[in-house]
Amino acid sequence: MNRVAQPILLVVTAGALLLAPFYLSAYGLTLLGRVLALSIAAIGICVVWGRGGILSLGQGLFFGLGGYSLAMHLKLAATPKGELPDFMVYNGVEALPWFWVPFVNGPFALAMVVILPTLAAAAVAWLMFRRRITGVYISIITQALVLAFVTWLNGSQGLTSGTNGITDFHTLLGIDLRGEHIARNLYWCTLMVLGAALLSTAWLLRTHFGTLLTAIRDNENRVRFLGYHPAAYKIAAFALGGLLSGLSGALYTLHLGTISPAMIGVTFSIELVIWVALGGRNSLLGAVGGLVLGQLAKDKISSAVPDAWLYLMGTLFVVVVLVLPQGVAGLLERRKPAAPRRKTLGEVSDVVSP
Amino acid sequence: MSSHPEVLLEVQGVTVSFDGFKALQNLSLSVPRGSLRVLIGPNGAGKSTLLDTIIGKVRPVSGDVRYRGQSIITWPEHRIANLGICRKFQAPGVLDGLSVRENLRVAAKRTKGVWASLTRTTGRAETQRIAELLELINLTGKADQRADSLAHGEKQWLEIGMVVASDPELLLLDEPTAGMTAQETAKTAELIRSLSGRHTVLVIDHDMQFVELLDAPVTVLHQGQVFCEGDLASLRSNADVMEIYLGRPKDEGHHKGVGYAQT
Repeated sequence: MNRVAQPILLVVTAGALLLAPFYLSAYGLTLLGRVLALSIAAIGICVVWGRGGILSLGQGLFFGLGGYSLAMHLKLAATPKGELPDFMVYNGVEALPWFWVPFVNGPFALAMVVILPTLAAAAVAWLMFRRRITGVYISIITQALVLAFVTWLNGSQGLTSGTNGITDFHTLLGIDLRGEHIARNLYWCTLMVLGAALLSTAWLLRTHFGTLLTAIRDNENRVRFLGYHPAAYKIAAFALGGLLSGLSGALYTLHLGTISPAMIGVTFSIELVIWVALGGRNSLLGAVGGLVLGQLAKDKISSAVPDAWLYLMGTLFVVVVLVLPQGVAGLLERRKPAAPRRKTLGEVSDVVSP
Repeated sequence: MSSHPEVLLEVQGVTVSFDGFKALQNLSLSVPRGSLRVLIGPNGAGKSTLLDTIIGKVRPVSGDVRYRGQSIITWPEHRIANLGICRKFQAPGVLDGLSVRENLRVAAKRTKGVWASLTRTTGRAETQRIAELLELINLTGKADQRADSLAHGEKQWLEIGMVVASDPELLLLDEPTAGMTAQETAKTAELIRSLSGRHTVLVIDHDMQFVELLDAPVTVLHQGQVFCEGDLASLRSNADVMEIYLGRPKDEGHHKGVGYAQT
């Protein structure tokens, strides 16, 4: 894409998105808002995987932590004072579990939306990168973690409402979530968060930090023997990915009015990665665009031919991996000199061995 | 830096074992500050393993490595590097996805922490220094190209540039001239000689003509031990040393050196 077309396209897209509430149907607006909320998680995958070379198949874990943090508060806010949330009553729980108690406080819950996923991601990353775990093992570990989290959620009916998930929200910090203009305002709010996340991540990747992430991805040992501590950089990137996933999960929960284990599981986590791969994992706009268009297509196709959807998605992923390793964004940039050369796993770990 | 000879690096009785195979056997070596030292030896003599041990990539089963009198044998790799020990690897270890300029910038940064990487901008002095280095390694015209688009010899130069950019006290160069033309080899020798004095340099190479150009004391390694030391002329007249080399006809590096001598 040339230097003139790209900014024009960006401005037009941004304008169209800002004005969407004035021309989209109610259904269309909710769908778009929901998809834009999801695309914030895609930014995180772009940083962690595209730039950092760390393929996490468990972003649903951090997405879920953000979503559940908010949902717990919303549930408590919708429950009359002195009573327990309905699902606890059905399950014979007699007192509010300890980890629910602080979520009565709205600002605390909002802080947790950001803090909990970030800390969890940093902790997971610290355990993995301190031991110099790389490549496919990262994918397996992160996938196992999200599976464990979902299994726990499902099994703890009385604490988390199990497979049903948490639903039936009324107010957030005094704002009526069933009000007239809520869909429109929530949409704009999502768009703002997405814009802020995009801009700040773009800035971050332009700093020396961004350069080092790429350097570590390409040759971790060379960077280490120049005196850097690669694990620290990878932990920071992974924590940022967790933060963005958590924000995405909270906004998504607001849009949908519910969160359940089925929404954050292994399939969801892999789907996120597929859309980022399709759009282009090395390009922020590519990753966001891939996710948004993919999800919109999913909505259309899966309602028309529900059975075909999973096969179609799987085929798309295989095609992208084989033919378009840099996604659609890579295809658009192909005219630039020196297309990136892909490394095999073996090469990455052996670059500096004699 | 003091003018009288002082030991900068001391390898004391180091033994490295790979599944029972002793790559280094009770090897001792001391390198005075500001000196230039060449390590030669046939394939498998333990040259690269010795450098791996110094930078912490390989941990010995016994022995000690002391730097400025301090034992660094248990230190994490990045801390050893931050002491001012920088290694050029045998296979060029450049950062493929970055431009040539960015490669040098990563090496030249004095602060290595995550926070500094977010907040520090590139100063004028640093930009100036990188421009000088680009000139030195003859890559000014390719400064904004990706490193993986460079030819093999250029990658070698780039990595030498990175090692110099990090301004280490001790440079460890593992076959810096592999894949270079005779002219480039001569230029590399000149560069390395200009570095010694202010820096301490330890060079591994097979190329005898290159070693000759370096005009420095040579240590011969054989089967994980120091075989002998001396200047190149005296080693050439040493029958035992010649046997170690000539006894291994597949020693390509040596033949390459002979080939260059004719050009």
